[in-house]
Amino acid sequence: MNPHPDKPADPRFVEIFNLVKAYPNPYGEAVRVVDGYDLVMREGEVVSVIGHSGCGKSTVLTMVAGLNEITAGSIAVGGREIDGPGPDRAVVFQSPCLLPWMTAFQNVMLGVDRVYAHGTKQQRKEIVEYYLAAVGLADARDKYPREMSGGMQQRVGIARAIALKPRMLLLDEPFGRLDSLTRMDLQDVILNILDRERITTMIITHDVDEAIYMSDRVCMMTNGPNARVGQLLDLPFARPRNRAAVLEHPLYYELRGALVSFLEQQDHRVPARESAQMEAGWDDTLHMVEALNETELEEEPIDETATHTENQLVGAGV
Amino acid sequence: MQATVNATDIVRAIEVWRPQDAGGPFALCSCVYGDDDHIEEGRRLRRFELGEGIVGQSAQTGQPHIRSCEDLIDDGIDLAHSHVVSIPFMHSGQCKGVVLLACDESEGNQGAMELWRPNDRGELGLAEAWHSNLERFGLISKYVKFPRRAGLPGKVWADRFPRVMGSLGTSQQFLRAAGAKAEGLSTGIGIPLMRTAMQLDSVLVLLSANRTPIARAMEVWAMDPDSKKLKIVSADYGAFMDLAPMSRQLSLGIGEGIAVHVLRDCAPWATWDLLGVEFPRGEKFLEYGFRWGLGMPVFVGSEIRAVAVLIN
Repeated sequence: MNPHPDKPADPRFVEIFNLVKAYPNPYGEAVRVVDGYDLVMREGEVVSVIGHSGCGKSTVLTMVAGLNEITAGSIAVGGREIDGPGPDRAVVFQSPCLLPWMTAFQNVMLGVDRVYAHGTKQQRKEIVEYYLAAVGLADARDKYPREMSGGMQQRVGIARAIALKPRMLLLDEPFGRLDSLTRMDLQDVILNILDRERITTMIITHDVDEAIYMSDRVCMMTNGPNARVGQLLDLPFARPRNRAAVLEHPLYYELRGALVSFLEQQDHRVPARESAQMEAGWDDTLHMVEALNETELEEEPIDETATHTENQLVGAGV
Repeated sequence: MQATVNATDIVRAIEVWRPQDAGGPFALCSCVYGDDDHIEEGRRLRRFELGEGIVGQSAQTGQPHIRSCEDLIDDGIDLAHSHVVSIPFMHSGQCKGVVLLACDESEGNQGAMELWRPNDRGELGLAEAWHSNLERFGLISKYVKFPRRAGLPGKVWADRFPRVMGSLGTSQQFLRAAGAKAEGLSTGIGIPLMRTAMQLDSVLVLLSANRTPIARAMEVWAMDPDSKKLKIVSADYGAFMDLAPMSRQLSLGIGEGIAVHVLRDCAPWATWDLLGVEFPRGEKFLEYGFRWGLGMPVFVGSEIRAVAVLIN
């Protein structure tokens, strides 16, 4: 995981502290989409962020990229607080957004020209060719986007991002529009590159298996609004990753089960009782009478054990 | 006479060790034993200097520990198939007492004691744990980390205040709910153990199963700023839900209840005299087969923020 084996990896390379993103609401208080998001990433680490649609995963990523203003909190990468986009952070979105009048080579060269302005033309050419080859497009360098499949276009997008030699790579559902075979292929392409380059990487994904296969740890987000980190799961799989070895790991299904359960738990269909409980500020402010009323309003048959336990929380609002 | 704890109880022993004078040695002050009351006599004669045994080590360092009783033979804790957690209570840098809570891990007994400590990333990770017959839950918990405000440990850390959580298997707030549901865990309590007013040493989490509860009732008491009396701020009574409204209305004044006793002494306390101490709930407790109570102060620096009470 360490990009420089002779130097210890910075355990706090990326520090996201108490991050808040709020949008104005003409009818009341601002809506806090993300509220109190904390995450620390080790240098060279790959972290997947998973959560339900609309929970704020991409909002977090765009704030880290510097493309979305932070309402409160802070983000530091490599010890420097970010205040906007920069070449130290490269982003790959779901759609590669290539310039249609440029070839694959020219699309990648676009960024390389700016970041390696001090290099010779030959050096820049070699960099572009190296990264196009790394994503398996050595033979398609002169193709235009219209001549390439979605998967090939996304490969160009990945080469374009990594050719900038960013200190941090941000992948926003990069395989979301691809078929499963292409998706698996591209996952391996990215992992191969990350194993060589050791770039600290944040991946936004909906796919539990993808999160497990690609990352060193998974960050599970609670549902929005007021989304934050629910819990983090460290993954014990060695890198470089081997798909078969991961699938056969004795803990694979346990870890997968934990992630799926978390997502199920965070499902939008919150039972009325729990919803009231949450709005009341969790157990500390839930009044016994309110809890009993909630139970009486239930139309469905009530599970005896659940009733016993769900109505036991007593609070006085401390 | 000491009441006999139900033989199916998972808790085998509770001991409260307190310094006889400032700095020790530590002597057994109050205790509750189940079927193992024969060890009480020997334990009463025992003393622990600072740094000596698990009691002295916890008192000296301010750090709780979870150990197998098999590793504590020299400490005189002769309980087979059991684990013990040592919980020091540090008040302005001075240890006011150490609680030893020993639980039985025989087949069928389910429960968990966990210590969550901040790691180098500022997240809580499982530092020490005992999961009795909860293999899957324990296995996954090793890989879980909680940032501040996340999950039961993270919320306790952020609030620097203890919290009781019921319905673990269905709660959206308990992030390991699926595992808890699968393995029958029902109620949990998180207690912050602070090194200083601002610095957390660890969060102690006790997870209780319906069938073999560590405690049938878990309560957190705090001072009501208006009445200056202790009131419950967070509690769960499992299947004994009719205790909830009664308890909710209680305001404890001088000489009333385990919580006030703990507040008065600024030290933990264990008792089997629920009838005498817990008026007016004592009769109900006895009716339901509750036998003992343990009160633990929650210190934040020099302040006592709350009292956590376990009753079983």
